[in-house]
Amino acid sequence: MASERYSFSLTTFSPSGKLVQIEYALAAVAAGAASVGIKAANGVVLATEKKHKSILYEEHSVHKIEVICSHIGMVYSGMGPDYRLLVRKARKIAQEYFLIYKEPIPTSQLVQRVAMVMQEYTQSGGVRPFGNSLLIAGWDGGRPFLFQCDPSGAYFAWKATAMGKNHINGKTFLEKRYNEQLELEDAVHTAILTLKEGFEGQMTADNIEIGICDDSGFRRLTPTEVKDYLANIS
Amino acid sequence: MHMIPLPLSSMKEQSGPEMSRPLQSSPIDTRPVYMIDTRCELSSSTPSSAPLPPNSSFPSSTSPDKISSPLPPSSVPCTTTMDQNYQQPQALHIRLPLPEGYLSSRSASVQGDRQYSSYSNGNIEDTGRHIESFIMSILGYNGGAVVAMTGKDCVAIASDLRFGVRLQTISTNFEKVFQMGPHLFLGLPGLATDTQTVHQRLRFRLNLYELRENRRILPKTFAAMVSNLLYERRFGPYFIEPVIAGLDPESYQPYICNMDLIGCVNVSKDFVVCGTCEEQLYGMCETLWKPDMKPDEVFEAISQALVNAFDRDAVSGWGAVVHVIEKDKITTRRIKTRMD
Repeated sequence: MASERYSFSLTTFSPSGKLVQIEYALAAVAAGAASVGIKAANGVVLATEKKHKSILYEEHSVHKIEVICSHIGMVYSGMGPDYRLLVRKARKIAQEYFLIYKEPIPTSQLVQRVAMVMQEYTQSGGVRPFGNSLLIAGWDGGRPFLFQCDPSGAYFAWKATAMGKNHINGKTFLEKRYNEQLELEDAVHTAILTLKEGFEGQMTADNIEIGICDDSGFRRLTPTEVKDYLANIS
Repeated sequence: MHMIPLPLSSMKEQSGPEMSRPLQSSPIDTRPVYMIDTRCELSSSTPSSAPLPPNSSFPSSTSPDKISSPLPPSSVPCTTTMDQNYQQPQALHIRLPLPEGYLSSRSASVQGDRQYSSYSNGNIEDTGRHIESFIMSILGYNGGAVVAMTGKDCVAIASDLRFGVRLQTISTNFEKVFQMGPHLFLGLPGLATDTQTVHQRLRFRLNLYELRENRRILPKTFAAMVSNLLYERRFGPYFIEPVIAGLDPESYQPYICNMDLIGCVNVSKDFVVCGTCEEQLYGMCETLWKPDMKPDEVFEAISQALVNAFDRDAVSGWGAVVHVIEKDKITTRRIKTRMD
């Protein structure tokens, strides 16, 4: 009880009107591994680099791209453990929606509600903001959707974007490459090339991860499929 | 759904040889005609002067005239909205072919006590028990009935207008059907207090949904929302049995469903019925519904079904309101019915 009295929010306005904790969280995102999202005419692609600290890691045991429900998937830049919590919440939000309306959750609704969770963590006592940004890809009503969700709770709809390390270069690259008629296959290539912009070392099927979303739903590509895409590029 | 225990004597009556004969066995034009007089005088904004059809001379000698003694036409004004061009049908008599022996056996039982159901076979005590079992149920405490029907690119939903406490009629202006969207209606027959509460709570949820998602709700999604609300009160339910009728906002496909008081959804492609005269409504709808009816045919069918059903029920009736939902218009009509 006594401890509750002193557990006020860590995120307090600075005299200049900033919430420095949120800015630090965004810094954690910018320092995190790069991830890219591109909306094509017939789908969305999410791609991320997944560097391992040691060659002894079992490469395909942990995933950065996660399925939220049949037609929505998600990836992050920033802190991994924080992401797991958001994935769990997002999945629960999607299922709760389905339980009430017997209808799959629209991507914009999921994003709105996940952003609500992230905002709560900027204002509640005893917690810190999330150390990651999300890219959420979805398909509903016959249309692709791509959203970014920041630690502040702000969210944006993108045609294509990059987050994490080198995101400025990534965005510049995408600005040059992007056009609205892009097909999903080409979008996967563009996403890999964007990742390659700031990639240190050799890019393999073991150190990147790709997810695609189209009218048949969201799925993570298998290492073999990724390998094929990589072979086509070089 | 509530089951009404039938008196045993009526069970025997029903299984008699003349009752078990299928209706189809008699050729349509040679049989005696049972005239169902609804006495539902439709009025619209333009008074029509078309002559009555030749076969509308009611009561005819073949009809059991005890079923309905003529009443002076009521002068209740009709509210017709949005439909200035509707051609009103002059006589609302339908002809049902009946098997031989039906009239004699049926009218005999009806003559005993016209006001109540013919289940009673004229035995007042049985009748009393039948009605009592109904109004003792909290679902039938206030009385009321709602029915919905599909047509070709249209749906109709109708309710009676009675509000009573057991057998005492308090008001004849109690609407149980509410508009929840441009093409979406909700009927809530049952306990009147819950009709109002559930309507308010659904309006609340629906307003939030439409603001949050910035779009109109689909009828089937709305049905899921109603079902969810009702099941939240699984062990202390609202005593209403909702009926939902609407058109899909994009495809304009008809959608109707009803559910029980804890939200078990039953989607139908023809008609759904709920309320104190549910059994009678089933009978009427099964007789009158046919596929691909036009809006005015749906209106005719649903009005006849409802009026003739609640005329056989002591705790519903006293006027009716019918909404016909089409792609580009909604027509709401009040129907004058017998007020006893």
